[in-house]
Amino acid sequence: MARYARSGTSARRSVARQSVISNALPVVALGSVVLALIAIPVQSFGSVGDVLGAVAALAMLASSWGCLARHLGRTNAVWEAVAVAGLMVMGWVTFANMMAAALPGGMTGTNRLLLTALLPLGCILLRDPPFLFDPTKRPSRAALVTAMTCVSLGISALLFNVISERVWLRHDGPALFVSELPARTLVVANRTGGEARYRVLVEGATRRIDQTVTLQGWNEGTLNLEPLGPGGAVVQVFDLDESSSEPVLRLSLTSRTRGEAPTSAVTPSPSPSPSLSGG
Amino acid sequence: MVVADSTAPGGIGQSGAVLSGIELPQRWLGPQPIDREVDGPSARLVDPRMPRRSLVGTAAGFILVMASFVMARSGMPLASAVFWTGQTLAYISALALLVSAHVPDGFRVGVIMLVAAGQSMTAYAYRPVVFKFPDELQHWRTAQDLLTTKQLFTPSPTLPVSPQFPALEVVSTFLVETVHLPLFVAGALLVSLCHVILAICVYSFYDRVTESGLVSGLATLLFSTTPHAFTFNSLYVYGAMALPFFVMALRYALTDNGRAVSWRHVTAGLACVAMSVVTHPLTALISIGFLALLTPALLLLRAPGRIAVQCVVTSLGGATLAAAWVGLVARDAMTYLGPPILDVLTGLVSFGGASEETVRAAPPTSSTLERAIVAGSVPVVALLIAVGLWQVLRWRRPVPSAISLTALLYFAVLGVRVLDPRGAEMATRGLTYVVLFTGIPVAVGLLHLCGPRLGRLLPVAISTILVAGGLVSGWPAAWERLPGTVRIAGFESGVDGGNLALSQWARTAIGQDRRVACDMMTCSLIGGYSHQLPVEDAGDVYYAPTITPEVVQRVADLNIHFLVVNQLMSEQLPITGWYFGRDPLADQHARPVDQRVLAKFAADPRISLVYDDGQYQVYDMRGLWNG
Repeated sequence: MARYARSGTSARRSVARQSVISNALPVVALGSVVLALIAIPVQSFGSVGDVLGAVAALAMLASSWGCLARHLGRTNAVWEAVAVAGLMVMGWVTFANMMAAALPGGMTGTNRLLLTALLPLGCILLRDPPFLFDPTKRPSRAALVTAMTCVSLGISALLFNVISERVWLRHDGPALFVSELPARTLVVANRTGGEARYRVLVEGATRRIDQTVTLQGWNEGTLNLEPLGPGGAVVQVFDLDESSSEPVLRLSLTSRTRGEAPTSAVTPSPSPSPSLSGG
Repeated sequence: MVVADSTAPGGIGQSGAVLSGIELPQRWLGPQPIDREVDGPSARLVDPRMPRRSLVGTAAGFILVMASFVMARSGMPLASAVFWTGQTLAYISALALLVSAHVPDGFRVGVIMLVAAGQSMTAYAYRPVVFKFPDELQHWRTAQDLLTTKQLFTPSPTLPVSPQFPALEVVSTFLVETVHLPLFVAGALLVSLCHVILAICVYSFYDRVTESGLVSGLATLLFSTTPHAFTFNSLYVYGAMALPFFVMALRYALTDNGRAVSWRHVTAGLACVAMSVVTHPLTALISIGFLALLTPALLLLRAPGRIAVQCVVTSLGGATLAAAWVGLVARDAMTYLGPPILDVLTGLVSFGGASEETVRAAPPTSSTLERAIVAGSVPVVALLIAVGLWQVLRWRRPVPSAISLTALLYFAVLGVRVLDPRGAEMATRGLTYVVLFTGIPVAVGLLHLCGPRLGRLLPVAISTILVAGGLVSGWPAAWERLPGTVRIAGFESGVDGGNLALSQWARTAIGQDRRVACDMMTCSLIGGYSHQLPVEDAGDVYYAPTITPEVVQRVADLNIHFLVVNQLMSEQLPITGWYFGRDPLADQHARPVDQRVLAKFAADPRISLVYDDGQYQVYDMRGLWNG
């Protein structure tokens, strides 16, 4: 701190503030471990435990990172110390979590948190002087405003991308499918955004179902196939908002797909040919 | 583990006074003597507005690139122009700062971190909702298995080697389990962080070797513009996490404390190699290989024996760790790495003639200008390596000289590109590692050739050509550089709302681990998000005009439970040359598949059609062969 003694009151305050933050790191590290120990039994109570666990995990990572960076900063440039400390935290999380697989229950959140907590516990032992960012070289107000503007624009650009991608990924048009196999329920999905009216015609071996479905927005309508009786079925969907008499979608369900005994008798070769791919 | 770098002559960590022995900055800066006010941590900033202008320009460039993605999805015509304007602005602004003297190191590191963060943000903005690249989907599956089973090493059919190198998935699922982030967010955050840390590690490596912020900054930017650096190294792939450890392993092995072998640095280097070993097989192999390769170069250049010992011990220790890991856990690593390595060697030995691998010479998809930029950047790099190597050797400092000698591997990579059938992919992957060594001679050569009288204009212009060469030959490919277009089997552009919805439906409706035949990208989604077993060699079933007994037998042999028909197959030719992962007609498609051929499945009474959205149909094939 002495090296900034002549820099004035503001600089001295800045150094003092940095020291307080830096000295708080081991306290935060210890606090995160205590919080994790509280969160683990509370986790069974749902969201409160989840929030406590999340805060504990984040505090563990941040305080360990800070302590290690401060320690490495004695002999390295600040940015280098921060990067290497990040790698050390990543390495510890990797090996601690892999060791958690050997504990009863495997890699559960509790086991992972417990073994990861050894890192902040170890970091408490590190006693180092704080990082000192030169308080006489504080960024100007204009620089801060410029930086904040760039960050805001960057985040806005990301958010616009999220929105535009979500819109672009929406499949445009209806879809028709069985909700599970064997096929007992039919689903008509409206993926056009607005209101749509569909006529669903199901023709079974002995009976038929003819229904009109009106779907508002991004919704799904279901149709129970049980009343159709046994045997295969052909399903056709007509868009009542279009003039064409051709079905827009079509399914064909064999009796086997509907849950009845298989009839075919072709058997595969003893070993299927491989179909795996590498990356 | 505490790693302190003391300063002493010999290797990394020399004192600042040695700077005056480097001819390059003197030539670059004219008669002005080199001191810490010109080039170093506390260099005197002559124009205080210049760094700010540069940082703002770089940030604005990346924001423009992200804006171009929104425009492209909306079909706006100027999206491509905005994209290129943004890229140009971002990199030229960064270069303007990095080729300037009188800039403190902090600003150089700042702009390098900004470039890395910008690359990560644009990679995220390109696919901001779900992972789309096939490799990402393979790691997604491994991560999902980890979350479901709570155990390591659950076999994965989509990438068998992935669960055996689980570090990426272990850390990202830690964030999912404890912080309750969605896996996509946790994965994207993790690889972005790794990408920024990588940039700092690379700068740190160069700075320790050259002790020049000028050379280090420029070399790091050149490293950050290799073909894979723009997007691929920010994807959710295991290589992205392993790269910073690769760089730091080399840095620690080459660090000299001036007295004796530094066992602290050897331990730190070994820890980094150990992380590579559990993260990514190729990076681990290359770390060990490069350390072994550097040793004779160091001895040849009369480096202190302690540095060579550090390299040998780190390399041998790393090899032992890797052998133990492969022997005990990662048994698939040999079958994963072996064939491509043999292929490369066969291609090189036979001068490109004798590989059994199918040659997939995809049709040229980039413009003539782009191909000219790529072709033009190769001789430029070669010339700069030659000039830079000559200059660095004149410094008479063994470590930078050994690293610059290793840069000659660039020409081996060029050989692989030309002579190996899968050369484009292998060379691009190889460049990511080799460029760590070419960075110094290329930066030194560039600064030396341009000289002080030409100012900043020429180095910026030449660097822009190199950056453009990396950008146009990197990922995403030219046909999908901007999002918003759907192309069958076109990697990210092969993912649309239809097959995403289908993969979500398949996960719940047909159960898990069913064998599903599909086109390349649908198979990636089905394997990753639906947890099915993709069948990628069923092309002959699709191409058969009718369902004959032979086709039925083929379906039975492949154990196909379900088959997905993507109607785009009847509308588009595959941009990559193949519709399927293993397409029997790869690179032979003259026209799209006849729609009537695809309709044969609907006409067969033994086959059920269980999903139809107009573009994608899913057939239940089990009735055909008693599956």
